[in-house]
Amino acid sequence: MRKRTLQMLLILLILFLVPQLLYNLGFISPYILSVLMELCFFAVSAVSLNLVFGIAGQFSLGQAAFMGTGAYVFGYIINRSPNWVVFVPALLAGGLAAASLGYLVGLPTLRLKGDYLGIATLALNQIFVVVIQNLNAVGGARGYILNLGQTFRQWWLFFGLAVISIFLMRNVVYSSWGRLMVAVREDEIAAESVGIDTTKAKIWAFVIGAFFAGIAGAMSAVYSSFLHPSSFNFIQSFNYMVMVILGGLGSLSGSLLGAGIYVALLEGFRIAKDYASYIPILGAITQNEYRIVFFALALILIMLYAPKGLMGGREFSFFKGKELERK
Amino acid sequence: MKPVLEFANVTVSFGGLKAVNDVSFTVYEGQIFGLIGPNGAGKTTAFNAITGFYKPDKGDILFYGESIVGKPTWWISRKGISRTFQNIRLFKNLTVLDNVRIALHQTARYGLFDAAARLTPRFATREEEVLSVSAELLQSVGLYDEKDKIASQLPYGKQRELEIARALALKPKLLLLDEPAAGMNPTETRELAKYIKEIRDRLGITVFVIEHHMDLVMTICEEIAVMDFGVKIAQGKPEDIKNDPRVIAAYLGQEVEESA
Ligand SMILES: Nc1ncnc2c1ncn2[C@@H]1O[C@H](COP(=O)(O)OP(=O)(O)O)[C@@H](O)[C@H]1O
Ligand SMILES: [Mg+2]
Repeated sequence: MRKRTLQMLLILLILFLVPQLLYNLGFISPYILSVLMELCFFAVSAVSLNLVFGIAGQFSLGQAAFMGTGAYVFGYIINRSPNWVVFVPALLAGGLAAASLGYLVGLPTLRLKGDYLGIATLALNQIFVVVIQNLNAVGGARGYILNLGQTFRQWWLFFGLAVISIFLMRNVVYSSWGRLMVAVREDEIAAESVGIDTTKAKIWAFVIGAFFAGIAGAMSAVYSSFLHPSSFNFIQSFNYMVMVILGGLGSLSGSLLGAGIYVALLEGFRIAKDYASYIPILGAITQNEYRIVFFALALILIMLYAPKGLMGGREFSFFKGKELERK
Repeated sequence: MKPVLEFANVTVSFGGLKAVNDVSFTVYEGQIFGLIGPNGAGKTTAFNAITGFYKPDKGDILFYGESIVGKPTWWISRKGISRTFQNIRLFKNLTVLDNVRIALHQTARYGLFDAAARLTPRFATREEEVLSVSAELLQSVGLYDEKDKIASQLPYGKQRELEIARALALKPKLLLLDEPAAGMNPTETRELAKYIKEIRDRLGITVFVIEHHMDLVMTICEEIAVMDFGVKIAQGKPEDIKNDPRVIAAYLGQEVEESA
């Protein structure tokens, strides 16, 4: 146990130091470093969605609304006074606001199952976008500029927040709290009959998932310093769903993998597009369209060849709680 | 003797069908009480009414004198009534150990922060207790060595026993078993009979068992009620039930139907 913890800390230290040093020494460009930052909040969001969908079995297409809530609340607060003293409270406020939305939405909608829940959360996402478009305090449809400069745009911050968030979520999943959620996913009738208040378990899954989605949203706000309603529409929710399904439902480490592949493809297309512009027809296709076509294709291939995702519901061993292993 | 469960003039209907029609009986503390009857008599429906899956149209169900009608299933379960299902309802894709561990959620009570931080002594001690209680329960049904297997990979008889172990993890005062011997061979059935007796004798749990076949019930039950077409047609000691012409008629009628 002790040894494992030390190993883990060492690996994390290396993962943190290598990009930082390479960057400082000029081997990697600010662009690469910022792709890695992007990966950090994609990963947090994917893992948090996996907690709701993969672990608790609640089909949610409203992930971007929870992220958006975190992003806008964080942004609004930090914009008052962009300094480190305000940073942590603003971040937590973002997470808590998203968690509250998760609770409010959870109460009425968690009576719905499967596709119906998906549709209800999708509707929530659109409502969120419309509300933001009409909120002048945060720029409405024009978008909201954050005057953050480069203060918070630090690799250590993104890496640290991602590690802490994912660590906390993994701990919850491999605890009695997570077991109750899994029970609800597996068989609601059996769960009720062993004394589990399934409604409460679902709401908790939504609240915890939404909290970390809010944190991921706040991270995205630091990343881009500019918030726009369209960054949080249901297409984004769908993208997070893709990451989760790519990696495998219920496998948190799979979601990391899913987020990694997603970012790699996303950036890959950006580069490929520059070359494609020289080729007729292909040149006319925008990067966004490539992505949609490609991800649809990737999803179909996964459904066919790895219906349980790349990790097939398993975890990388480093990710498991030792004494609480789940097969 | 103290009444544990009072089923009083209960009617449950599905559309026009009265699956349970004005049925009354009382289960007393320490009893092994049997409910028998041909297929479709309404036995499972009675269990579903007790455990809150169905709400009776009429009548009342009391547990230690308190009405449990209209209460949610999880609440009734925590109150002290746990059950098994006629068509086994394990968490099929989870391990044997997890099936029991999930049910030990009251032993594993700790806050979200304990769970997230994983550093507090409360987390460690409660989880250790969960593991030791699970081990005990699994040993009692001879499943400890298979604790890491996926539940659905167990043979049928073992799945039934695991379901009982899971029900016992809830520390019930009343245990409801819905056709626990279904699909078991005579040896397994005898073992099961012994195990059910132990549950009552050692753990002091009142047992209420449904059976379709009479053999098991006749050997372990002190009191038996008989249902047919939603109605209670008889109640008494096993010897009386065996010789009751109405009971014989109900079962004979069924055999005629089955062979037809
Ligand atoms: N959910 C339901 N909806 C409609 N009819 C039902 C339902 N559950 C049971 N029944 C009917 O009620 C009657 C009693 O069923 P059940 O209680 O399962 O009988 P038993 O357990 O004695 O074999 C049967 O005719 C069955 O078809
Ligand atoms: Mg039945």
